[in-house]
Amino acid sequence: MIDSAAFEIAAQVLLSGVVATVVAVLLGVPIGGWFAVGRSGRSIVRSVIALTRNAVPIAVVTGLVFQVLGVGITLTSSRVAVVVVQVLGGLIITAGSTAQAIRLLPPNVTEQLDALRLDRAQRVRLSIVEVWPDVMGGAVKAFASVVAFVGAILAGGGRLAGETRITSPVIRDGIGQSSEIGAGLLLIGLSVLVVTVLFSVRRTR
Amino acid sequence: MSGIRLEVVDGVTTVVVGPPDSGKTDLIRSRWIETERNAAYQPQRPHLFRGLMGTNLGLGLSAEQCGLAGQYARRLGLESLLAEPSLAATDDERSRLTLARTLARPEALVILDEPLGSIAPQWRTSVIEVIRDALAGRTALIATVDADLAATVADRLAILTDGSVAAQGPVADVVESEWWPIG
Repeated sequence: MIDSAAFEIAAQVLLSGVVATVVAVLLGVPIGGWFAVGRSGRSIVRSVIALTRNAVPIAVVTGLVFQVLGVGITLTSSRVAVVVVQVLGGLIITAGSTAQAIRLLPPNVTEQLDALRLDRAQRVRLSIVEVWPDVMGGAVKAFASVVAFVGAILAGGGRLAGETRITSPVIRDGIGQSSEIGAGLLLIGLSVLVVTVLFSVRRTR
Repeated sequence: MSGIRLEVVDGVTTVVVGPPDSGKTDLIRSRWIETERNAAYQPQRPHLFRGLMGTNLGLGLSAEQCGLAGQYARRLGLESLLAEPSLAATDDERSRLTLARTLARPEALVILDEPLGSIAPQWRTSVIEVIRDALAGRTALIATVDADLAATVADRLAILTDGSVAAQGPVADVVESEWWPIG
């Protein structure tokens, strides 16, 4: 028999995951489209979004954000905090997926967009509609990710008293409070390094 | 394409003719880019965006321009297709619809790249007539391999061979040159 608490936890994870994904899509899709469509100063931001989407585990990013903001670890077990964390993680995925899909539009499509001489907002809207299957794919990926990385870890794992612990307290207890930001940066750096190496290997094949 | 100096005269239609792969598209596309894309431009492979064909017809146009595009669309036999999804459009329908939209644009220069390229035989005459009427008195640059189109709408001709302008000028002068007929 499955404990009724498990159902409650699963329901909460799903509910918060759905809410977070919807919010992440509503925010992340236009943000990704905006950066993908602009003509100047966009390449760095786009690259960062695309790389971050692939490289940095959501738990690491959001854990670092909480640490930088000076929010106590106990907050990460609250329902609101879980949703906030999921939104942040999902936003990266949806924005990255959207930006990447728009960047990969065929040349004749971008040429047609140029020929229409639309303003940036119109161009973003049209581009997003054009890549909607990729946007939906990004939303699904975001949902799966937020549930897996954050929902299960924070709402599930951290709730089993005395048995499981979320990542952040483990890091804090292990290395000490003052080194948490440094540890977060180190993890992000390692993630980016690994993905960069993987991309390089794939490109040389 | 360096070294080519194509003359585009205000208020008249210049048609660039030449065999396939002679560099026509590169030439007129570079002219479009030179204008910082401030021209009504019909690419060789036009694209319709997701949605209805009618919605695509009005993209980037004001209400008044939409009315004009609608008139061209009717003449091009598209009226009954405007409520259809754009994904179902054939190459021919796609070309006719984007042509109607392009011709309704307000820019001073109109650039059309192979406007008859995907047009079905039964629509050729209508398309040529619409182009001729819409471009009357406007500055236009058209690339084509189609001698009928060139003969009907051109005020000036430029003959392109192997990436360079072999001859250009008023139609009467160019058709008397050694370069005519092309190919």
